[in-house]
Amino acid sequence: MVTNALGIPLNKPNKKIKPLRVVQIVLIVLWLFIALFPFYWSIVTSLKPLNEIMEFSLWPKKPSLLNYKEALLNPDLAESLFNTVFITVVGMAINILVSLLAGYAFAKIKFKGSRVLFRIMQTSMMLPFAVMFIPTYIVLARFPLIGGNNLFGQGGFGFVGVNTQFFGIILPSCISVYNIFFIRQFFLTLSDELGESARIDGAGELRIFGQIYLPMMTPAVATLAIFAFQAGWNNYFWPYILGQGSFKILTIALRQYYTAVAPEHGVAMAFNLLITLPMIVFFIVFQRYFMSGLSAGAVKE
Amino acid sequence: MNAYGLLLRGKKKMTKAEKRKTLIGWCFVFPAVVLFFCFIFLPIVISIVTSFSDFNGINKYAPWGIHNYVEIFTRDISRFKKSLLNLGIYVILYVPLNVMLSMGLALLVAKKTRGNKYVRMAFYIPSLTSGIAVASVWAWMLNGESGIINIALRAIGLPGVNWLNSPATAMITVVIVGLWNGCGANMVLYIAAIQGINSSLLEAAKIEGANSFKITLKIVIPLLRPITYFVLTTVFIGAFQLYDTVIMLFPTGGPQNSALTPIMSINNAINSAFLYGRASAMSVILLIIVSVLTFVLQKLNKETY
Repeated sequence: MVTNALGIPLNKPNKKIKPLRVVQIVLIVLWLFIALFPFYWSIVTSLKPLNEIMEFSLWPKKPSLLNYKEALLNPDLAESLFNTVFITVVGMAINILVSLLAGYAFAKIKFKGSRVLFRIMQTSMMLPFAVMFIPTYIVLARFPLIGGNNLFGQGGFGFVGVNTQFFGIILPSCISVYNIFFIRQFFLTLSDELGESARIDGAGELRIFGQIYLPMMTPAVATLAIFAFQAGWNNYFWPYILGQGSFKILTIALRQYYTAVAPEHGVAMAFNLLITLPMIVFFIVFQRYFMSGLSAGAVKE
Repeated sequence: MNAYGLLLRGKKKMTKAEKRKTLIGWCFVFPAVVLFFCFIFLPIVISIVTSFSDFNGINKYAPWGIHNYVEIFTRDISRFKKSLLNLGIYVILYVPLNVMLSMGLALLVAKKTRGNKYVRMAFYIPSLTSGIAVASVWAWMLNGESGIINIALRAIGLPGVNWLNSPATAMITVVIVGLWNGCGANMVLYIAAIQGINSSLLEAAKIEGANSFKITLKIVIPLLRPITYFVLTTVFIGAFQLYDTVIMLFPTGGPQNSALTPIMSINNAINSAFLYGRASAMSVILLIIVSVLTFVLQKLNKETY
């Protein structure tokens, strides 16, 4: 049956193929090619032995896994992997928890001051984080009572010292007004009556939140998990700035292949694919919730 | 009376239940408020204060008026003016193209079918990867004479482009790589919005005899207006953070600084001479530009609604 982009049948079923449908299919195939070719090309490059790299051929003549072996032997790999997993998982967990609690309060507990507070937070959504990196650094370095600092933030390294920089990297990623907004929107779509009747039965707020509303939040949490995992796993700028380039994470390790005097493109591509794979697997596991999460959340005004 | 009650005491006295509710509410938002204060609100304040001082990381704050702002423009500290110009080019090209491409892709694959589900996943995958990973692959594909893209261009009879070494095309390269990386996520938002459109509206138009092209143009796209506004704003704000892909494609800011971004410029001001005051002033200038333009966008959106 011929339909338009929205799946609405446009005519009685007949065998004639509409030209519009042909155009659609051509465009889909074209973008599939554009979207996937760079992946194909990095796989091909990663399988080429050193002497084939600079030659032009659409597939390796003698495919070899040598580049992957080399990439896995990267001396920084273990530490980078541990650090990346740590900052991603901890940052993601705290961010989701903070967003759930705040989003719930803004949507379901009509408490005094909530409107003003939400307005203030919403206004800050239009300020890009990267623009604030200097003062964020100062706040972390001068944090009272941390990393040898006294009560007034003097004397030590705060959250930017060698032992504390883990937290310095994670802390700013624990808050995202965008995510709070997203969760609030999602809670707004759930009925108030469920909570009200539980309240009359004497349930506490934490119980209403945890046992009544939270189970309905699976798509929203899965969507946030994808966003937050992506943000942590792909993070480069902040760990790089805070650690002055010496803090080891996977994206920084990848970049080192290119800042080397003689970049080994095959090994770099192999490393690139290895560190991208977990992200894609994570996405595929959670993607079935992804769409339903988005349609209820961010889209509504 | 507890602290919150004291803080929020209005003319009317709150009932006991209301007080309880307010206390519970503030407990729920407490972690968010603390983090928001430390890592969003406080940095903004510090940024503004520092921008009016000669702070260089070591000395005590000493106010020196608008000196930093004057210097940025008269002495052109770390090529900040050039970086603003580059950002302007990027925003003008990237923002509308991203919105159109995301919407176009969404319209192509929004229909709920088994095949489309996989196509959508494939379309989203470029958005999953990090700016560093994306740009490393593209730098390889765009690389001089031996890059696959120039080989392909020459194969179909077009001249190759000096993607990574020409001041004229540097920002275009950044836009292309950015679009490949950035459209998938917005496409997903659009798909969700399209699937949320009330189908009876479209049925009615169909009965009236409108073809699918006309329905898309006259009904669907206007109905997507709220999400278009949302995407437009987030893409616009995101553009100001341009850093990861550029540092990979043009590590030193490109030929004749043609790909230098404001964030790189700010970072250079600190790394080369610890000019915290001037770097903060640059941040504040960026913040003002973002805020004013976002405000204008907001007003335009309301007026023409």
